[in-house]
Amino acid sequence: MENFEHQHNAPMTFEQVLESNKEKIYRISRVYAVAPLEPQDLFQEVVYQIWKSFSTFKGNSGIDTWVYKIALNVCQRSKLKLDKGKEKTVRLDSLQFVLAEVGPDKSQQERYKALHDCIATLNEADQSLLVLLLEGLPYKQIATITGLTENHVAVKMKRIRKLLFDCITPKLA
Amino acid sequence: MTEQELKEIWMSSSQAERIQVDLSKLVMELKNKLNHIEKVIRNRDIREIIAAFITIPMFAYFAYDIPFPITRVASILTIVWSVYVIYRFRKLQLSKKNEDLTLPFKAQLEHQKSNMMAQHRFLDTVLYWYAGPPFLLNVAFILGLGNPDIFGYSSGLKEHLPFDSGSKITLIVLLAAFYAFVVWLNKRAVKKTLNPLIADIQRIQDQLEEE
Repeated sequence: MENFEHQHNAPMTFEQVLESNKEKIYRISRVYAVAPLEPQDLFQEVVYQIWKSFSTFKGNSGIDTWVYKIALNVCQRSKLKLDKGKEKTVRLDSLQFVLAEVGPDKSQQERYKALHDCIATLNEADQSLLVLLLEGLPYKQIATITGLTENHVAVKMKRIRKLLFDCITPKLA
Repeated sequence: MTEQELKEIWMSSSQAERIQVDLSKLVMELKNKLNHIEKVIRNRDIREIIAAFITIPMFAYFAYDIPFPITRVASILTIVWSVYVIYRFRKLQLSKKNEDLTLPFKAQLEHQKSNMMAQHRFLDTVLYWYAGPPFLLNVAFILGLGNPDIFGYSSGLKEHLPFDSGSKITLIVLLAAFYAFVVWLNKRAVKKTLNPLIADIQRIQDQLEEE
């Protein structure tokens, strides 16, 4: 298995993994959260699953790849409502989401909304691939996370890019 | 608009909120959440198999107390069926717990579909393992009740058993209605819940496969 990330000399603790991955988890949660579920709820669920599976992390793939797999799987399950009925009422007070003092300005927010809307027009599989592309991951890592071949990812990305630009260009013109 | 600009818009989306993590409290809260979820699952498991556990001592007593051979055999077979039902529930619950969210997306979808298909088989076939066998055994139990005077049967239980034809037919009709309702409920769950979920997973799998 490929290791795409920076090699750590010492194994990372759960706290370190969370600290270095929390923003990417939050970005993915924002795309997949569908009312009444909030991005914060999905974020908490991903953190919970990472913590629960942390002892099974063998380091075959990098920790980032491992976190992306869990985040994507949890978010996709949530979208399919596969966890309907599963107990999720325990809220984690130790995770707080505070509005940034200097957050994105109105123009940035509009640009993000346009991007978010365009992602929503894609089918579920394309959404998952696009999210990983926007995270700046190489095709090889996307292939490891999704279980597709690198060539297959490349072919699909060509089509997804076209769909995305066709959608977003008029919105941001 | 370039791809790099889109990536910048994307990356800046996490700046809308600051995520504050109280690490000293987090692990404790995660452990509490795990304990809470395990407790809920344990309670649900107990509820699901409790009926079968009640059935075993009850029919063991019937087999011991009631002298009519067919009723006695039906009681023993009902105990065997109850054990089988517990086994089926445990097997399904164990397979559900083996969810591995660290699998690649494609493998995870396959895993989810297998789980859903197992549940589909479980619910779609209740007539053959959950409703049909106990109904037939209940019918055998009722029809097997003979003349208590011939067998010298005088247990306190005698007052509660249907010995006349009218009571037997009424009870069999009520049982048939009850088991038919159980089958209908399960078929409905398959149609309304499982089939759409399996179709959704299949749709995403097809989307992934297409080029």
